[in-house]
Amino acid sequence: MLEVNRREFLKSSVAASAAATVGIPLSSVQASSVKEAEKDWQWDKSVCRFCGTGCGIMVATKEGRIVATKGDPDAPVNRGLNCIKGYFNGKIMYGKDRLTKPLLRMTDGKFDKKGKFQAVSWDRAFDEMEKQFKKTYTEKGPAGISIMGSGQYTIPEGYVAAKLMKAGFRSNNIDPNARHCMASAVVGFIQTFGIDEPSGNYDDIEFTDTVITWGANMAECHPILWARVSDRKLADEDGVKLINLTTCSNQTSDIADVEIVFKPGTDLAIWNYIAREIVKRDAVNHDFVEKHCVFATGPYDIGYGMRSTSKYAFDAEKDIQAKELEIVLDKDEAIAQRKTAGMVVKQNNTKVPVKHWMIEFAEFKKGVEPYTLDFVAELSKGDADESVESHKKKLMQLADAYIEKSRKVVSFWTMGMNQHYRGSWVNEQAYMVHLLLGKQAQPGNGAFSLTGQPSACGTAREVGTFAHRLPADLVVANPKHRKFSEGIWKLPANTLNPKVGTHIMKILRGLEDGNIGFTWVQVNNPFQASANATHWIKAAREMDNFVVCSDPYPTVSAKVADLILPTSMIYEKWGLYGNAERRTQGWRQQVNAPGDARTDVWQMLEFSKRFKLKEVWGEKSIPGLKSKGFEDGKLPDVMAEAEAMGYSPEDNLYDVLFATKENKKVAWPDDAVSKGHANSTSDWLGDGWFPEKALFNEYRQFGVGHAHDLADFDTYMRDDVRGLKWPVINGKETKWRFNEEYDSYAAKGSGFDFYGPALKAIKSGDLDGITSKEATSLAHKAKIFFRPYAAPPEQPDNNYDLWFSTGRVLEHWHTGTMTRRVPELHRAVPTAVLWMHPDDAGSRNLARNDIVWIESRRGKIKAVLETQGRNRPPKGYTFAPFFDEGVFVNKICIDMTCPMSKETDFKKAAIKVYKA
Amino acid sequence: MNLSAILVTTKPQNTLNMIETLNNIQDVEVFHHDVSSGKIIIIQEAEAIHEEVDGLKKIKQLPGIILAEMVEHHFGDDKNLYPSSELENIDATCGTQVADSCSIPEYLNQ
Repeated sequence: MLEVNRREFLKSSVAASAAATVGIPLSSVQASSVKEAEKDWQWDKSVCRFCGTGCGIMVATKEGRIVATKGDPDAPVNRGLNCIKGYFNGKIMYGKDRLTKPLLRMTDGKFDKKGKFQAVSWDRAFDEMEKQFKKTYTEKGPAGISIMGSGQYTIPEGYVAAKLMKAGFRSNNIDPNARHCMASAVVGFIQTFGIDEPSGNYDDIEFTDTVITWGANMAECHPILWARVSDRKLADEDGVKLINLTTCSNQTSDIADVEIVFKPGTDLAIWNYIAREIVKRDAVNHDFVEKHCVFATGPYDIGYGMRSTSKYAFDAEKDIQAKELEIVLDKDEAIAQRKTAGMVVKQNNTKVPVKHWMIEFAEFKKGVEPYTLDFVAELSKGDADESVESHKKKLMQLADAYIEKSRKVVSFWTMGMNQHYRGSWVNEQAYMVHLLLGKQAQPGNGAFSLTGQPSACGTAREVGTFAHRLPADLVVANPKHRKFSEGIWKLPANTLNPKVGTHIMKILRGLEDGNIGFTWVQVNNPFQASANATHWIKAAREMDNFVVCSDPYPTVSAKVADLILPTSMIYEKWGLYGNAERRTQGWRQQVNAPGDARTDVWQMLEFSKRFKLKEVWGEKSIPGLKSKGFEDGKLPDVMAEAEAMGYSPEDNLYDVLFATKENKKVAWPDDAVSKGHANSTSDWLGDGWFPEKALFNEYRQFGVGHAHDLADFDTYMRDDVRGLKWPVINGKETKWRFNEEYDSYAAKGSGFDFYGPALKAIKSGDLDGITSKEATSLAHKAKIFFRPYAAPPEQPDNNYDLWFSTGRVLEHWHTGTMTRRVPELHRAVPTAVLWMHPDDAGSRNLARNDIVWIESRRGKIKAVLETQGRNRPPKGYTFAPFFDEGVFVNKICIDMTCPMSKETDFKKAAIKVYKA
Repeated sequence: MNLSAILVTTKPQNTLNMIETLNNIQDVEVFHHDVSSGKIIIIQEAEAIHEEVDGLKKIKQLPGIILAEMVEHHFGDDKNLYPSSELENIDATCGTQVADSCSIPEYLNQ
C-alpha cells in the first residue's frame, strides 16, 4: 500500500513539474507537491550528450546518483523538450559492461599484441603506453604518432589534446571523427565566407516561411528542431512551405508539402538548375551581389580522396580505386561540364583540390547554362515509379520557393550533403543560391549546416582538433598563425610544425601501411565508424603498431586496441560543448565515475608528465616538410631559445603546457562556481588547480578580438546563462553574423559585411582556369561558386546492382556505444535492418525478415531484410543504419572522400543482396 | 519503475476529446491541461522504458496530435539500473568478466 501511495505521489509531482516546465499554470498545492517529492534532489543545468542540436537538460542527483532528467525549460534550443535519445542521458552511464580498470593485452605478465586483456593499474598502463609511444616517436618522429579524437570532446578535452600534440609532441596528426561528419561544411564556410560556422541560428525556424531540407532526415535525426519546424508549419499551414529533398523517402516527408526523391549525387545538378532559373528569370539580387559577393570556380579533376590502387587493396576494389588517377566522362557528366562523352580525364588536381579563382558573372552564367529543367529532371529523378513530368513539376516548385521575392527561405542539410564525394562543392552550391538571391544572414533567410555531434563546432572546429588547424580558425600552414599561437602558448619560435598532419582516414591507412606506429583513440569509435573497416581492423590487430583506446565501454575500437583506458562519461566531469548555432554551453560534474574510470583531461595531463622538454623540442625529422623558415624535412631544435625563455630541458610537458604558473593561480576548490559539486580531475591531480576552467580561459585568448570571442568560464556556468552564441561582445551574444544590425564585427554602414579573413586574395580566370598573374583582394565579400555535376565513381552495375547508403535512426546515436547500453532502447531496434523496396526484394526471391548477405567490393555482412516501416527506399536503393556492430555496415562502405574536405562518402556504395 | 511526463499538444478545440482518448490508453494518465493552448501533460508508467518509447510512438500517431514529446524522466527507483551495491559489483566484475567482454568477437575476424 505504501508503495502504491508513493508511486501516485511521485506521478503527480512529476506531472506537476512537467506542467510547470511547459508553462501550464499550477495551483499552490500542486507546486508544493513538487517541492516535497524533490526535497532531497539537487537539480542542475546541463547539456545533452548526443547530437549537435545542443539541447539543455536538467539533471537531478540524490545521494551521489542521478535520479531524474528533464528538458530544460529555460534552454532556448529545446524549450523543455527532449527527444527519445535525450531522455536517456541519465542512464547511459550505467551499462552493465562499463569499463572500470585499465586493460592491457598480456601474456605471462608482459605486453603481448596477441595476448588477452588483463586488468592493470593506471601506473602499469601508462608505463607501457609511454614505452610504446617513445619507441615510435624515436623511430618515426612526430609523423608516426597520432590521436583520433572527436566532436564529442568537451572544449577543455579537445584543447588539452590539441595543445599536447601540436605544442608538446610537435605533431599535427590529431584529427576528429567530426571529419566524417561536417568537414565538407567547414570547407564550404571557409571558401565562401573566409570564416567557419553558420551566419544564422535556430531562431530562423520561427522567422522563415520556407524550410527546405537537403539530405537531412530531420524528423529522425534532429527531432527537437523538427518539432520547432512542425510547430511553425502547423501554426500557418498554408503560408509555410516545407520541401524535403532525399534519396530515400523518410519521416521528414510526412509533413512536407513536396518530397523530391533524387538519384545519389545529382543534388549537384539540382542546385545548378535553381541557379540557372535565378539567372534566367533575372531574379538575381543584383544590389546584394554587386556589393557583397564575387563569383569563383575551381578545377573539376580533383579525384575522389581514395588511395589509388595500392598493394593493400582487395582485388575487387581496384577498378574503382583506379578512378583516382583517371575517369571516362559519361554522357551526363560531359553535358554538365561542357565536354564530350567518352573523354578520358586525368585527375591532375588531386594534390590541390581547394585551388580556386575568381570569374566574371558572364562565365558563371555559362557554367550553369547546361542545367536546363529537361536535363536535370532526366538526370536526377530518383524514383523509378515517378514520371519525369511529375519530377519536373516538383523541381519547378522548388525553384519557385527559393525565388519568390517575398518568401523567406532556410535550407537545412546534414550528412546527405556533407558525406559526399563532392561534399564541399554541394555546400558551396547552397550558399550560391542563397547569395544570388540575397537571402543569407537575415532572420528567416539563410543556408544552415546542421551538425551531428554535440561539440563538432565547439571543440573539433573552434578549438581546432584537426590535422590542419589551430584554435579560432587559425591554421598550422600559416606562419602568422603559428607565431600568434606560439605567443599565447609561450613556445619558442618554430616549435609548431608547419606541415599539415594526417586526417582520420589517413591515420587508419597509416596503421595499415606502417606510417603510423602509435595511435590514441579518444571519445569516439573509429574502427566501427570508418568506411572500408576490414582494412583498419586488420591493421590494428596484425600490423606492428600500438593502439590505445580511452573508452567507457567495450566498443569495437576498444576490442581491437592493445590498451584500454576506462573513461569518465559526461556527467562525471566538468565540461563545455558548442552546438551547431555557435552556442557554447557548460555543465558541472554531477556524480563520480565508477571504479578506476578517469576523465580524458586527467589521462592526458597525467601522460604529459612523462615527457621532458629535451625529448620533444630537439631537432625532429618530418618527411616531406617544406616551409619557408624551415630546413626541408626538419623541425629545428628549439631548446636554446626555450632555455632563454626560462625553461629547463628537464621540465616536463605537464608543467610547461598545462600546470603553468598562471593556470595554477586558478584554484580548486572554487566555491563560487562549484556550488558543492566535485571535480574529480582536480582531486586526482592533487595540486590544487582547476584545469577545465584555467585551460578554457587560456583557450579563449585565441578568439577574443578576432570575431571568435567567447565569454569567460564562470559566465557559462552561471545559473541564468543557457549558453551564448559567439562572438560574445560585452556579454552579449551575436544572433546573425555578417549582418550590421546584429553583428558588431560588421562594418557600420555596410549593411552586410562578409569579413571572414581566409582566402580573400585570389587570382582571376575563366571557367577553364586561371588567366591573371596577380591575386586580387576580395576583402569583406563572399564567394558565389560555380561547381559542376560530377558522377559518383562507384555506381550500381550488372554485378553490384543496388545503391547502398548508411546513416542514423531515431533511437540510436552513431555507433550505438551509449544508446545500446540502455536495454530498453536496444530492444526498440534490436539489430540494424536493411531497408529495400518490396519489388527489389521480390525480384531477388527475398521476403521481409529474411536474413540476407549484403556484399560490396570491400566485404560482406549479414542483415535482416525490411521492406516496410519508416524508411521507404525507391527501387534500386537500399539503406541500413550503422549503430549495430553486429551488422557492421562499414565493412561494405567505400572509403572515398570529398577530396577537399577528406570527409568520407557513406551514402553511395554499390552492393548486391542475396539470401544468406 | 520508470515514469515519463509527456507534453501532448493538440488544437485547443480538441483538448477535451484528446484527454478522453489519452486516458483510455493503458498505463497513461492525464494530469494537467490548458484548453487555451491545447497543452496536455500525461504520465506514462512502466517497469521497462521500451514500452514507454513504444507508447510515445503510438501517441504521436493519434489523429489530431500536433506534438508529443517527452519532458521529464524519473528513474531513481529503476532496479535494473541501480543494482543493490553498484560500485562494488562493477569492481568485482572488472577482472575476467569485463576483460572477456573486450575480447574480439568472431565477426570482426571474418
